[in-house]
Amino acid sequence: MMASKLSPLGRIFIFVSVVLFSFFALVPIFVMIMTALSPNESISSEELIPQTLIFKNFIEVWQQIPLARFILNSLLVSCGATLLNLTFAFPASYGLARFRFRARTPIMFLILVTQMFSPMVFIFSAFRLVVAYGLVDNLLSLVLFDGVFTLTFSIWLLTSYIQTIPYEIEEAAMIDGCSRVRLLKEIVLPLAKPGIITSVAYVFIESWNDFLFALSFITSPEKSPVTIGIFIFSGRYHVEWGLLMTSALLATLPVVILFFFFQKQLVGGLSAGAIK
Amino acid sequence: MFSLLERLRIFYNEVGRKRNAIVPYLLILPALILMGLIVFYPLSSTIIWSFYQMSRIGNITGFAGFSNYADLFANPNFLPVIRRTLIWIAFSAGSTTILGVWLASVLNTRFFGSQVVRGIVIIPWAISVSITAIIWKWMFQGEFGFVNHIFDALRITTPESHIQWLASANTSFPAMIVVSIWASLPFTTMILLAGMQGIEKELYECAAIDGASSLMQFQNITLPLILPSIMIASLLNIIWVFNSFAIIWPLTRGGPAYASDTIVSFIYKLAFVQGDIGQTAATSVLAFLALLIFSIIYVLFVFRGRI
Repeated sequence: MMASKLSPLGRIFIFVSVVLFSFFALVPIFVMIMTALSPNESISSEELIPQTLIFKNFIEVWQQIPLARFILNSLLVSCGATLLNLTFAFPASYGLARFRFRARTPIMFLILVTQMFSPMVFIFSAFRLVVAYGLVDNLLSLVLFDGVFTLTFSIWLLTSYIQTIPYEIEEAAMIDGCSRVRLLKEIVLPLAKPGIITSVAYVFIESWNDFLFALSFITSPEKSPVTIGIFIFSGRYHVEWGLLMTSALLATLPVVILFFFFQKQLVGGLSAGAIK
Repeated sequence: MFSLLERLRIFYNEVGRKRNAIVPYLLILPALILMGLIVFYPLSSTIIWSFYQMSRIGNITGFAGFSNYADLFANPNFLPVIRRTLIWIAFSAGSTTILGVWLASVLNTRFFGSQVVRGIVIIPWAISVSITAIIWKWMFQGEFGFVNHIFDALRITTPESHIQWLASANTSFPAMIVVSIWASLPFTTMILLAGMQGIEKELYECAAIDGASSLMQFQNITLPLILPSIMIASLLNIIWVFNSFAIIWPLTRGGPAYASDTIVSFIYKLAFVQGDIGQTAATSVLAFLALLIFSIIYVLFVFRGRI
């Protein structure tokens, strides 16, 4: 369907749709940025766009809450979870991609079905487990749960990716006397890099965005990742909207940048898992 | 040389069929053990607990049989929560899929700036769901929220008659659905768009030569051919919407009282607010079974003959 073949009515339809959907997608972002830039008194006024824009919130937010601490916590959790995930996912994916063995189909099935679970169905038992290991209010609990809960997805993604790498390359290396460990490290790993990058981005973003595990396992502000930390501004009776939106904006930026950087691979990887 | 190739073949394929094939298991087992510990162990204890009397902090105090389940069905909040969860899923996943088909077919045409538009509509996907919920909580705020500004501007309300969106169930539930659509539309659209781009261009050219209008082409070519993508997108959305605790909790906490609870926020409240672990486990098991059915349908549908 090329634009040139569209009827005038069709063009109007496209134009109206584009305006509507863009408006829907952008308005909340616009409101978040505008609120972050507004002086407090104009937030509680009738005007949509404030007369004066200020950066006061962007300075104040660091003093009011340990936002730097929250971001650092999120960063630690996301990096830890990604590292844990890939360390276990890569060998497992290689095993599933390259070997045919009896338990393979049941394992693949298990992995795919688990991918659909809601962590909510076992959250209290998980909490008990975290208590039993003395990991309450410890970032390690988030690393473990975020890293392992995303394992099924990254194994699935990496398995499909490794299957696309021609097997002859490994064959040649084996003939040249390459050991199995070296084969994995020096040949498969570099070749699987695009798949690994997609998995890293996925696990990182998922861990950064985790809400339930953090809400359940973390009790003090010092250990809070951003997703729950910024709720300090959202009290039961009083909400500091200006500072809340500022911290929301700052907490979102790193992952938005990452997202757009890896957008093509992520969209491709996620929809390939669903479609191909 | 021959023996080496043979050895390779054995290494990769033949050995695997014999009982002593340990290499693949050595590779996969660490991941499986970790998943067992972190996912399957708590899951199985939840299932077991659902048949026991549990203390507030999760110790077994006696055998309960099915009485946790009986308590759950006697709980006046439970059936409304189930009903609301079904409405929530039907409306959120349903509207997202319909809007997704609309948006994907718009993005599938070439027009000036189409790449920019694609970048814009994908933005909500990049924002974490709990932050999305916070932003929309502000949008729906009763006094100064953006939505009420718009309603004032359209002369539907005045500052004196503002709608307190999140304060009553009649308005907070539709508001939650809007937020859910906002968050899940980009992913849905991308899946459907990928489906549309897989359709042969010749089909449209032939149809155009035969004089079919754009609408007819959409009805008779696009729609039937993206049906599998629509199925997948709907199933994924159903599961995603079911799971979206991070929308409900920041927005309304399922409140006022239980008025906007779906099953996930209900489980969270039972566990961490009320401390009724027996009922928590029973609800979790039922939710787990429902999800299991959906994910098995999904896996059988999507990966038929490929795993």
